[in-house]
Amino acid sequence: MKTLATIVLNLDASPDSQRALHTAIRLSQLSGATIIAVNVVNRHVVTQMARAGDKSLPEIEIDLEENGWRYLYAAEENAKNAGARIVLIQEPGYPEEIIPRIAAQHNADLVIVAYGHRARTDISAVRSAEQIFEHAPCDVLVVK
Amino acid sequence: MKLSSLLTPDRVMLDVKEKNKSALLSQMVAALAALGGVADPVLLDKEIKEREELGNTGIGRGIGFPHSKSTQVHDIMVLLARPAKPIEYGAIDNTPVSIVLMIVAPADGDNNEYLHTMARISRLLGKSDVRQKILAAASPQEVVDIVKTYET
Repeated sequence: MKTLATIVLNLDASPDSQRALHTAIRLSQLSGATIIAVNVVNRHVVTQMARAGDKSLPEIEIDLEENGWRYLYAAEENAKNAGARIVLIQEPGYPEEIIPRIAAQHNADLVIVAYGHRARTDISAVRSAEQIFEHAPCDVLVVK
Repeated sequence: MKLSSLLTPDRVMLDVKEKNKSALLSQMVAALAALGGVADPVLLDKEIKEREELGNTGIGRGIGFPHSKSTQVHDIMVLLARPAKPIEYGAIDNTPVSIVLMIVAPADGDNNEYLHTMARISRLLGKSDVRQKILAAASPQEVVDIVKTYET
């Protein structure tokens, strides 16, 4: 089996994503791989929240950016406390575009995505996950 | 907690001469220690560099954000350094860093507050106009004023 050196993890607020993080940490502990944790400030979510709501687009983006960084730093703390190597990236856009691009840029050996309850009930999340599977330049591990 | 409530002119170092990452981080720890509140600067320096080994804190766009929870401090402390020339930091986007913000928090402090503070700082420094103004600032007070302006 090929040795893992780089794992790209799509990290968001969902509990499924937290399980995916734990899987990434376990794999990193076993292989010494570096986890690249990516939080996408998801334009699909920004649009959905703007339609639903009470807040302006800039306010929604600020909330998503700050929450995203909070998830990333919490993930980093968990990973480093477990002795796993991790670096953080946040980018605005669409996960289906950003995750495969980052995986290609960093010659990732594995992409890990969560595909839990929200992904199964939210059509944009379903499409996004399917496109990540299709366009990732390496194997994709689905945590469900 | 806002960065503007933590950052004072004496916590801003402009045109720092250090040319490599390790030396810069050590100088920043020494500067924090000189302000008081660091029990053992040698240990803090070691802790920060050990955490750095497990994951580079270059968050892209020329920003270095070394951070650690430590038993060597009792309050959240920050220090901003602007190297005289961008330094190689090993950041994920391979961009040399031109602004480094160090944050150290008590090991037994409020973790949510720590994460929130780091998230706010990351978003703030992610703004291109904030970075450009900090790079152009002529004095530590000007840097503090920029942070205050953009955080409100």
